[in-house]
Amino acid sequence: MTAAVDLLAGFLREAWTAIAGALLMLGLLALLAQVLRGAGSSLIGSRYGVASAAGSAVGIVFVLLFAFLGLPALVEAGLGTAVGGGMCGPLVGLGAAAGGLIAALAALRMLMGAARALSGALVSSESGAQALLEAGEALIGMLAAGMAGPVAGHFLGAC
Amino acid sequence: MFDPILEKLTEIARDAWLFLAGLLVMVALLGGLYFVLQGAAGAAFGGSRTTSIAILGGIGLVLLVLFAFLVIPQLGEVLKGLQPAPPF
Repeated sequence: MTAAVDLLAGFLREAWTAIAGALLMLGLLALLAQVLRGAGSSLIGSRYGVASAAGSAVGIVFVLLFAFLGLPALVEAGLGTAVGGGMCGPLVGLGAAAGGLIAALAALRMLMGAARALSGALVSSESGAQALLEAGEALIGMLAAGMAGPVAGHFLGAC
Repeated sequence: MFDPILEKLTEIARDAWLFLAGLLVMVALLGGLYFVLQGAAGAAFGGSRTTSIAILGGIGLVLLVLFAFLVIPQLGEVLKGLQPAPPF
């Protein structure tokens, strides 16, 4: 059981590292694309285009900072709540393992949400809101899934 | 497991970076020429406002290119240092 959980957690850790690297590359390319868009807009005298490109560039930096600084803190906070809380008896080990995996999946979903927001920032300027929305959904999903174990334990009379 | 994928992605991203940087250089050179032409025409016909706009446009273009070639790589280095380890 523990070996299987470790295997899955290792796989998810590698996925986190790869997605974070891809996110960084995507973010830098998106920044360069926004500079190109700003330069083109300034040449044709489009003030709206320049303002939109500048806003998108700021949004991209914000999403990258949120992904690299905010998401790990959110996941750690959620992990402390979801793992093993309210468990008892034989469910403690199982609950801790399941909580860790749920947190890992939620963390990856949040990171994918940030990547999706970044790719959206290339064509629109709704990147920051989208990333926050995805992170909130994943966090609430993680906490709700973490509550299922203790509730089931109490309901079945195991605790 | 994800290393080969990341290497492929890095290659693609490197190509895309070179393409975008080349495109930016071309746009900046053509834009600079356009602003010089606009400024010269403004100066020739006594349009001081046109000349001023051309000068400001040229400065803005230079600032954008400097931002792209000096600030973005440094920002990349900073963000690379901030890249988080898996928090689980």
